[in-house]
Amino acid sequence: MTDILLNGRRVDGRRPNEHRLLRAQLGTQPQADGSALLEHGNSRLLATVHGPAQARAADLSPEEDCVLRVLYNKPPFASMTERRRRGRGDRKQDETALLIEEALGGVVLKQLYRRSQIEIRVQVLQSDGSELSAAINAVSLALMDAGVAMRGHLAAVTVGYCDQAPLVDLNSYEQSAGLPSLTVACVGQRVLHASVGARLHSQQLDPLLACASRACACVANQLGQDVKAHLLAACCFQSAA
Amino acid sequence: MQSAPDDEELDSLSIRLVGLDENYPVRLNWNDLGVQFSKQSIVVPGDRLTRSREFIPGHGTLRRTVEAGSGNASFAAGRRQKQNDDNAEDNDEDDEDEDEEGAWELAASVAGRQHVVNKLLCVLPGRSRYAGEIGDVVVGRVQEVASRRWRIDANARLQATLHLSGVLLPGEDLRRKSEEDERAMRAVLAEGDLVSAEVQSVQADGSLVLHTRNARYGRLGQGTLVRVPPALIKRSKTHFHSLPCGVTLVLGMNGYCWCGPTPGQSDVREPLASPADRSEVARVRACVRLLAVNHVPLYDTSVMQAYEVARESPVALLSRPDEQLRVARLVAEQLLTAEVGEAQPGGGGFGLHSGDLISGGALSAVH
Repeated sequence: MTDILLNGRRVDGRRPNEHRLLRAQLGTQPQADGSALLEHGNSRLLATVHGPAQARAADLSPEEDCVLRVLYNKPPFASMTERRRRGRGDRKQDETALLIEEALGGVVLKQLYRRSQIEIRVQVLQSDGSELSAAINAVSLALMDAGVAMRGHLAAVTVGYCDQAPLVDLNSYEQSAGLPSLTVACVGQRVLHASVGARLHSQQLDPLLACASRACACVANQLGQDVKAHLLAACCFQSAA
Repeated sequence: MQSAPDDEELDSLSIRLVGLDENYPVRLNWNDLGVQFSKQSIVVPGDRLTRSREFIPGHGTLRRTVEAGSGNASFAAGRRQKQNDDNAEDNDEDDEDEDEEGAWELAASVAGRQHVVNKLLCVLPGRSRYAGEIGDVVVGRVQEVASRRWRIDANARLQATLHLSGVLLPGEDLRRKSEEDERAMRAVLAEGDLVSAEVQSVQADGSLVLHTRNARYGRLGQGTLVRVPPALIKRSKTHFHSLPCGVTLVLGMNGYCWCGPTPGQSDVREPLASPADRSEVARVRACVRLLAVNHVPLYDTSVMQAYEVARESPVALLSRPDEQLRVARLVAEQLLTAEVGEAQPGGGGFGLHSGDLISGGALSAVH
């Protein structure tokens, strides 16, 4: 474990509780209703939102009258280590998409979008760990860009555990070392998604969860600033238009 | 990290746009023009708007109860203002009685600008689908010909409907439509046709019903469509503009703008527009687009000013971000000075409150 945490520093020089540089750009794809390009350090993802638009009648049911569909794609060029070509029916990608969908189900105000479908596509452009949390963050930004109503700002972070210290925002090297890890997505204080990456001792769960929800609040705050900066340009002149 | 590119680097500009270089000024920044805009009024979902109970929750807001101590909040979507819209209340997790006792607050549910009208508090998103209002002029594309109706894509959340009874058949008075009319529906509007129409009503589920029962409305012939965010279209008395350059411009409130040669709406079998006409149409289209990407409100004055500024440039140049910025900045400055000249306190305009409008170095920063 010395190569994970040496003299209180991680392999890329960060402190244990330090998040990688977050950079976000909204509205990059004019053809989509909403889009966001998000960087967690070297992880780089593009999320686009299409809709809310008319859903096909076959997709609707009396219980579920707003369709939220997530497509997650990680092309072979995204990762240095894993160059496998994954098809459309790939189970790992489908699982990631499902996890994002579940987290979003708790935050999008579906009752305002009856008979509509919101399609969300996530493309991993560069992969360097914490893709699930980066994807959730990117989707959340893209939904805001599309003007979709949500309960709050959904933010996610992946934390690991090493030498009694929680590591925030694991990169791919740390993830491949098989650390016990936890991905958490929060809206305010409310945890909407939590998944454990490797075997995690039950005693470690509470400190990790606390650390992760604090980190989520920080991520939400910082990304919120980026959204506001973007909106300032867009809203400034629309005051009366 | 990256320095601003030199002139010879401008060709790679389109690549830079997708990159994360926010320092490079390819898009108009209104703050550079001295527009004072309160940052406090920009909110993201979950931001608290107010704890005061005197406000009525409008679009883009939600009520959430705050349980003391636990920090857990439960939510109720903001009541929408339309009478026929009871969507927000009926399937939410907490009921009205609890709200009266517990402390609740109003929070934003969309990212956008806070807006207060009397007691109504709402948040207007910067970009969203078109939420129709009765009487709006819209431009739509026919997606499907169904029984006695057309299904139309009008950039709304749901498909819009144009009933056969809502169209004015060419050369006829309004009359009951027969079965033969029903069979000949594709002769009036086929799949893929563009149509200008007016919103007749908004259904309970939010879908729009359109009508073209006026000679102004109907099928749009030769021309091009530009799609812009609906919030940029300024509501005005007329949305059909015949510009002096021989181009007809329809600024649909739904964000679909159509530009075509002026006599273009009459007949299917009209001769093809001349290359000169078409290049004028392309220039107007480019002007609408460059204003939209720089968040300039779209109405006849702004488009005409952009046209005047861009008249000398080749049309192809108008798709370059630097040229778009140059034109949009000049238009914005003209609009701002015109606004100051009118000096309407609090009424319409762009909601500006600053007299000091144009900063000194604004122009030199571009060229």
